[in-house]
Amino acid sequence: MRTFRHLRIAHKLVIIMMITSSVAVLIMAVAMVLNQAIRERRAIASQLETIAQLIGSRSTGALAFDDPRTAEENLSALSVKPNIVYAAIHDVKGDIFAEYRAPRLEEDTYALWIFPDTVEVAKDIVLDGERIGRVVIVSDLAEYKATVIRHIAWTFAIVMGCLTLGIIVSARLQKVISGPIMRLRTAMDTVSKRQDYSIRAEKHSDDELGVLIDGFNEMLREIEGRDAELARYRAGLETEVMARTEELEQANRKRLSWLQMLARFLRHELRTSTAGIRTSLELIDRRTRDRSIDIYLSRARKSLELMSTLLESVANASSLEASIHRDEKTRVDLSELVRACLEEYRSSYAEQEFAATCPPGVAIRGNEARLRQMLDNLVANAIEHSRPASPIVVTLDKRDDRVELSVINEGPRLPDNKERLFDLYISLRGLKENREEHLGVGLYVVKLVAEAHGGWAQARDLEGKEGAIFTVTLPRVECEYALKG
Amino acid sequence: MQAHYSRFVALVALAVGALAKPLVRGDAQAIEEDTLKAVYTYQLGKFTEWPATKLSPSETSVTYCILGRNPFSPTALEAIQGKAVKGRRLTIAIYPSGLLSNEAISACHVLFVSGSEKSRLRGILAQLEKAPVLTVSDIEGFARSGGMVALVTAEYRIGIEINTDALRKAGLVVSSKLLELAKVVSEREPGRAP
Repeated sequence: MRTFRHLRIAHKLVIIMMITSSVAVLIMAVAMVLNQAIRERRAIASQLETIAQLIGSRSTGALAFDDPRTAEENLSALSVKPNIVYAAIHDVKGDIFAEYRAPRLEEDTYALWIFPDTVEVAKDIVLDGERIGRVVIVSDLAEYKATVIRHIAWTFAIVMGCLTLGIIVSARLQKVISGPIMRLRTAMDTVSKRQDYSIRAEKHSDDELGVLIDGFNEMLREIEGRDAELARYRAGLETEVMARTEELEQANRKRLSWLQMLARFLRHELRTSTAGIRTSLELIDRRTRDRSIDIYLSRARKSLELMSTLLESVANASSLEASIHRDEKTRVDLSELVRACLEEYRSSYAEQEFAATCPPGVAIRGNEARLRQMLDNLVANAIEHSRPASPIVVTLDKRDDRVELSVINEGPRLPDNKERLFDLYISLRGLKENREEHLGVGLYVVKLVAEAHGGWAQARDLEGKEGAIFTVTLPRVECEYALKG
Repeated sequence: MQAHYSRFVALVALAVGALAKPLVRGDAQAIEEDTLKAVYTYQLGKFTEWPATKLSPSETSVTYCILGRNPFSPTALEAIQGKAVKGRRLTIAIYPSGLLSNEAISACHVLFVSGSEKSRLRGILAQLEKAPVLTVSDIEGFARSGGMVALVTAEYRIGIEINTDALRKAGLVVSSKLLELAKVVSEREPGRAP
């Protein structure tokens, strides 16, 4: 039925009509042939019976007076009927009294065996109400068979003629059904090809197909309407989005230039000012004899140093944020990067223990220097908060479409508002004297770098023991490329 | 199946036919000649049409008369006694030698003239002239002498001679089926060897 499924509806209709009419015509043909054959056969039997009756009636005398010769003469009259192959008259005891054989019977015995189609008729011979014998006539059915075959041939020819006519007629009539469907299909094709919903299918009838076409047109009208509305809406939306994007970009550009200005201002203007203050403090120190102010001087100097460091950090952060989006990104093998960094840490923090789980070949698209800076900051943060003599663990995890880089340390629990850990200048954890990190720049940089790579940073308490886990999740944008590399 | 069967029967009939024929002849020979003659006489009645005045539809019997010394054995007579002829019962009446009475003539439908009446034949036939009685005899030359049906013993069978003139005169008709078996003779015709 696979092939039938793929046929066009016009062909299907023709096939269905042809199957229906073929079945009907064939049944009729078979019935006709059978009827004809049966009638023909009955006619033959009845003809033979008449002949038997005649022969029997003519042979009463011969039987009564035991004259088989006359009986044989009577039988020999059957030679005018070539289809009668054998005939016999039996006497009342059933013995053969006289018989007749068509010459063919001897010649054609073989054929007779092959085609055993003979019909036998027997008729009693009655004289004066008394049965005195019996006539048996055997006729072969060659002629009958020929007639039947002729009938079959004729019927077959007529059936073929009818079916040919049927195909012609049904091929024309099927258009009543398939025509509207084809037009509907053409309309549908045009609609889907040109995406033109203003097209309408023509309606030619008021039947189910007409309803279907109406429905189709109604649907098109609706789609057209919605399309127009959608198009209008989309046009408005696009304009709005563009305007918004422009606004945002402008704001961002303003912010970035402001950040650059701020960095420049901090570096140049404020450095000049601090230099002035430092020089003034030197002069005060040199000129005064009163050593009692030394304590104030040293405090002022310390504050000045702190301010300088702070200014430097803020300037760095500002310029980082301003420039980070312009960084060039390449393929970075994170596994390699983590391994190299850990070696460095082990040499620079000799007293600190490090551990790492780092599967090979984890690569992302990014800026290597920034990523290294990010890891530096995470590790520095961990060292700062780690319990003495506890190891710092760095793990690299490859997920479906992202990479998780985590730094784990044992130590005090994180504060409740963990999301604010990554904010600028917020150092919520216990401050240690003379450390840069309490200025909160490190984690802010981590957040900046993660976001610049399309990822995010997250801090959690360790499960089971005191400690913190800082995780940076980065998308594996270049995973295909990474696999190839 | 039917066709097979009938063909089989036909062939068996064919095969047996050739052998069966002489047997049938033999059987016929085995039957006593007088019985055969009695049966033939009886059969003749079936092929004969009597005028309605002689054999009216209301009549219930057909009378077969034997004139002269009865040549038939009891077996022969038993073979035909009481049989049906033209839907009527066959009755047998035996008359002594000599001429028949008028009652006897009107009662008899078939008259078998015994060989004992050979010498009185002319007189008997003259008496029966025009009477619708079928005369049968095995006396030689019976038909040529004015009798109607003669049963002539040939080599292996009994032949029939019919004098159609005598029948016509008596107003009797015999079936053509009988005539085609019989030898038709006439009184004037000089005798031929059978």
